[in-house]
Amino acid sequence: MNILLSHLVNRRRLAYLFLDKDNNLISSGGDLTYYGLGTLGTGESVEDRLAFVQDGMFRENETVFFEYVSLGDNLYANVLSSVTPNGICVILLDVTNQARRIQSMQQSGNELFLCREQLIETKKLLQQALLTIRDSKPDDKI
Amino acid sequence: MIKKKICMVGVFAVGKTSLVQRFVKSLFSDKYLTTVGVKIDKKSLRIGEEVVDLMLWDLQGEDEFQSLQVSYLRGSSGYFLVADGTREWTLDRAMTLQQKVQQTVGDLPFMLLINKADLSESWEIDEKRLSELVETGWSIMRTSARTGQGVEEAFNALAIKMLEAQK
Ligand SMILES: Nc1nc2c(ncn2[C@@H]2O[C@H](COP(=O)(O)OP(=O)(O)O)[C@@H](O)[C@H]2O)c(=O)[nH]1
Ligand SMILES: [Mg+2]
Repeated sequence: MNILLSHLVNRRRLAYLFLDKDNNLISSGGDLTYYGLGTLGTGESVEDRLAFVQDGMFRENETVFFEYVSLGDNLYANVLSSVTPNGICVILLDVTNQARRIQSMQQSGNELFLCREQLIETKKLLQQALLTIRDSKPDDKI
Repeated sequence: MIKKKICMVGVFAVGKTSLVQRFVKSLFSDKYLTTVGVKIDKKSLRIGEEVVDLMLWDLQGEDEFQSLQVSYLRGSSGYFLVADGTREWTLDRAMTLQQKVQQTVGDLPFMLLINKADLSESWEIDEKRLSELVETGWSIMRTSARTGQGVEEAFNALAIKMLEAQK
């Protein structure tokens, strides 16, 4: 277990926080500095530091999972959370590289889609223009 | 201090990110940058006597790769459905998405934004369709993230609806 944890901390920047029911920090571990949380003190509210933490977000017997949360410039994390006997446990895992790859794939795909939409639109306009020209008498001014 | 979470829901490239950026930073960019997952911004609004911190969850739009991930909706107090006025089919999809959101988070205050109002020459949305929706109780606003038209008003209006719903 310890080997797995240290692997996750070193390679995937795992960080974890335990919060009380008011979202104040009880304890924490892992690579908090990576997420800009190195200075977070015990008892401090986490809501101001992690925007997704809010009242009513975490409920007994329900696991929260957010796949890609942007946590700053070029920083994306998996967020996993559940209520444990030791408090609300929030786990962060770095997924910046995956998010970047998905972003560029999606960007191309969506741009292509928009481009196709515009082509269809242009085709419609051309067809209308063609009809207008065909139906107009030779001496009509367009 | 009151905190309210708002989600931006809609098809890709309708202007969800641009509306949030306009509202929070008074900025607009023509460059299209696809959103991955969620980006959360915050802006405080004064509504009467109260100051409300709006937490704006700018969600990845529905596209060929990804449908709406409902887990992000958790804890919302309200949401914007965004459609692109120059692409009518984005309104059809916004209506389907509304059902999906309602199934997930129940009856929450929401508003339909028909964005890109500055592009009136390529407007595709049938006004009759909108008035029919208004008759069924929907709140609809035309917005432009580019010019800022209707943007402040829309966020204000939704904030008021959310505060009223909490009473
Ligand atoms: N003309 C115009 N373009 C807009 C407006 N809002 C967004 N856009 C453009 O539409 C594209 C998609 O916007 P974006 O905010 O990324 O859409 P999202 O995928 O819904 O977040 C970008 O190129 C924006 O510049 C608007 O009100 N008017
Ligand atoms: Mg976006």
